[in-house]
Parts: sequence; C-alpha cells; structure tokens
Amino acid sequence: MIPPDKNKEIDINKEISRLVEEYGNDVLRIAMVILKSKELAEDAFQETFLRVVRSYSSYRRESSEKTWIISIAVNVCRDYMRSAWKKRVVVTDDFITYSSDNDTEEIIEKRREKQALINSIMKLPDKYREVIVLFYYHEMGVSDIAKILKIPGGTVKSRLFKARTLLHDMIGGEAHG
Amino acid sequence: MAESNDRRTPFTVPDDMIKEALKSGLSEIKASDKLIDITLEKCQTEIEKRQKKESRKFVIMAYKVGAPLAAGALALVLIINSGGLFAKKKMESGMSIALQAPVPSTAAAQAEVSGSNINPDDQVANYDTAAPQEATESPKLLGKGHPKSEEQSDGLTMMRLGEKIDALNSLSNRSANNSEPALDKLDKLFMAITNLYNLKNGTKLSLDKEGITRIYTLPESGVNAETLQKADDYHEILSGEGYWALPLKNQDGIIDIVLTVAAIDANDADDPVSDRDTVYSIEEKEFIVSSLENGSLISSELYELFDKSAISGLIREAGYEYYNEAEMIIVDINYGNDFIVLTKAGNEELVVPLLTDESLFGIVNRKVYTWPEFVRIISSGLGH
Repeated sequence: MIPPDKNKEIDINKEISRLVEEYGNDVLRIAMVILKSKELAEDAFQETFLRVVRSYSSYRRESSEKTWIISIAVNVCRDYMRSAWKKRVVVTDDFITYSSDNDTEEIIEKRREKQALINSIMKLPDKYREVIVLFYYHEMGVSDIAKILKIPGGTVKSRLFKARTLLHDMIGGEAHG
Repeated sequence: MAESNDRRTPFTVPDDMIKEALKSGLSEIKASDKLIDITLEKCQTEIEKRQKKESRKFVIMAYKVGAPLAAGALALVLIINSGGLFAKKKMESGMSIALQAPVPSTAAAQAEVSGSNINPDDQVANYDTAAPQEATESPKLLGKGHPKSEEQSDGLTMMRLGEKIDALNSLSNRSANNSEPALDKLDKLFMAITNLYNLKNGTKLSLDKEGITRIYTLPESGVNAETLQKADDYHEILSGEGYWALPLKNQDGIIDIVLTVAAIDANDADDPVSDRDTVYSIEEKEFIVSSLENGSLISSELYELFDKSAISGLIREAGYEYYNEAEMIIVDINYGNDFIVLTKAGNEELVVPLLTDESLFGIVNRKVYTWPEFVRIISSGLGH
C-alpha cells in the first residue's frame, strides 16, 4: 500500500477505512492478549481507531504506521486495565485451537503443546504479556517496543528474558524442544 | 523484523516455539464485519465533529486577523476618497468606526442572557451578567478570562500559526487558591453552574465529577526565560491562584466542553468582563465562568488532564515508583491550551507536559522531565 502523500489533500474517511482494514486484526489481537476479554478487546478496537482519527493530523510519520497504531492500541488497553470498569468484566480465555478429523496424533500433540503455551502466555503478568506479543507476534524490534511501552530498551530485553523463563517454569519444561 | 533475543539457556522457552504458538493461536481472531462497520461509523461521526470545530476555529481566526485588516482597508478607502493628507480628521473618524466593528454585539448578548429569568435549582439565587460596555471600550472588555488586550488576543492566534512565544502565560480568570473551599463543598455550586450552562445553551451535558480539576496559574505578567532560570524550584513560578476546570460530558459519555470557574474577589467585582465570560451569582457569591477555547481538543487528546491515575501511570512508567501523588499540581502555561503537571519524587522535581501543540515548546508531550531539564529546554525556546 502506498503511504499517503503529506502534500496532497487526504481523504480522511478513506484513510481511516484503509487503516482499519490493514491493521484492524493486529489491533484486535493485541487487545485480546493484553485485556484477555473479547468484549473489552472489541471496545478497545473502536477506541483505538477513534484516537487514530483524533491524532491523525499530528502523526508525523517518524515511526511506521503499524508502530503508531499499535502504540495507540497499547495505550488504550493500558487505560482499560487501569479503569475500575475492567475489574467488573469477567475475563475469559477466547483462544481456541481448531482441530479437524483428519489430524494425526502428532498434529494433535503439537496443537496441545501450542495451546498449553498460549494458556501460559495469557497467565503471564501484564508487563511480560505486552512485550511477548509485540516481539514474537508483531515481530517488532526492541527499540520500537521500547518506544511503544515508553520503557528503556534494556528493560524490554530483560522482560523478554524473564517472560521466557516464567513460561518455562509454567509449562514445566514440557514445551522445551 | 524483530532481532533474535533467544539466549538458548536451558531455563527458557525457545523463540520459534513462542512465535509459532502465538501465530497459530491469534490467527483465528479477526475483526468481524459488524465491528468494523460500527467502528467506521463512529470514526465518521468523529471526523464530522472535528471538521465542524475546525471550521469554527477558522472563523474565529479570520475574525481576529480580519478585524485589523478591515480597519486598515477602510482607512485606505477614506484616504483615497477624500484626497489623502487633507482628510486627517475624516480618517480618524473612519478608524473609530472600523475599530468598533469587530467587537461582538455585547449588549445583545447580555440582553439574551439577562433577559431570561432562570432559576433551575434552589441553590441558584441569581443569574446575571456584567453590565454592557460601550463598544469603543473594547480593550477594557477583554479585562478578564482571556488575553488582556487586542495585541495579546491576536498573539494567541498567532502562536498557533508558529510564532515564537515570549513567555508562559495562564488564563486571567482566577482566584486565590487559599480562599477556595474544599472540593466536596463546591459540589452544589458546580452542579448549579452546569444546570445554568445547559439552560443558556440548550444543551443536556452532564458534569463529570471525577474529572473536576484545579488548574494552577502563573503570575499575570507571565513567566519569561529569565524568571524561569532564576527560580530555585517550581513553586517560585506559581501565582498562588488558579481556576477550576469542569469537564461536561454529552449523552455518549464524551467530554464536549470544559468550563473554567473562578470566584470573583470582592476587590475585583467591578472589573469589566470579557464578552466570552459569564458571571453567575450563586448564594451571594459571584463566579466567572468561561470555556476553554480548545476544550474539545483537550478532552480528546489530553484526557490525562482529567484523570489523575493516567498521569500517575505516565510518571510510574518513567521509573518514578515513589513520587508524591499528593503534591501533584496542574499548571496552565498557555492561556488554557497547554498544561504541565508538577510533582516530586524524593528530592527531584518532575514536570510532565500535557500539550495540544508540542511544536510550540520544544518539549515532548507526556514525557517526564526533571525540573532543570524542563527549564533548560523551555528557556531556550522562549524570547528573552
């Protein structure tokens, strides 16, 4: 997709539609991981794009569009985490692994391992879950994650290391290949 | 692409395993068409709302810039029509007319307000506005609330167009902090003001009680680079005065406008009031009420201003776990458009900017600065 030319008249409606289409799933997924609730994640999805509209004119393109939008999504999720409202919402695990009748024993076993790992990731403290999803799922660099989470790069690295150590402890070394 | 962080120690889970699990686990999560439609609809409404506000801002700016231009143009027409230098007397007369022109119909506005005999709440004893002023006295009319003179008023507009700022300034609608009753005792007053605002404007906004914030102000003369550099700590730049910021929410729960409220000191009771301010008389006390020019922008982009826990979050994320939350104060540094949060962590004084336009000051919005850092950066940007 060609990035919008700053000097040309931009149709903001078309731009927002493009951003929702291009990054919507990423926003929903990170919100699901951080908030652990489909209902909250969908609210965060809407709020993220409303904030995109509000801050669109001040976006200076110093970071990539994806980093910018994910950064807004993380901030929205953090606000939700802080609000008392979140505490009243029942948090559920919506991460389902889909199976098929044709799956072999090996595939089923692998899927079980992945599911166990996903469940463990979801049980990590918030600060470790954030870095894990940004680093492994969104494949962002340490410096981008540091900017998004507003923490030093060294802290990102130490949180990643700690997160993987915790995951190892949680799954009892079974997933260790 | 993320760089590898896999240290391959025996006590951690390998990178590729985590990546694969997340990719397969999250790939099933997709935004539904319904969610996308609802979101786009809300975005569309937000875009329209902002476009309306932008066009209103443009009208205000055109009005401010246009008034002196109109005066100049009229003077030129008079010179040309009356034979240049011989028309001195006529030109002065023409200037007088032109200068009257930009002043809004204050008397009409006053009549509109004071003509309605409103008593929506038993707590409200009276609802009045200041006496109408002659249009030719327009500089005096700007005496409260907003920049004091035409020069400053235009300066405010020009700041937004990228001009250099000479000093940090706060709104002049203010009252002494030590004369203010406690917030819980002001509850009824603020409800009454909200009711009156709704009646006057035909709105149904509700007061966000949690968001009510005391905004501290700088001295009326402003704070220039020299004053800033000489200050030993941040208390030295404060005026000991401030105003209340009242966020009013619409039916969707979104802040629509931010009102400012300051008690009128008995000594200042006879001072003229700007046409943009309203004086409410409640239980024999007078309060000057105005709205922040940038209120909607502030509420959408600087929501932290009305949410102390969000400010705490910013400070903690910067590594200051043990800062003094009780001492946190918010200061207006640009006529109700831009603010700073001041607080302490041990012996260190911290500053968090909450700005609607960070390009004006050379500081980064929401970044936590130490007081010396803040002074150094801001001073270099201010005119001497």
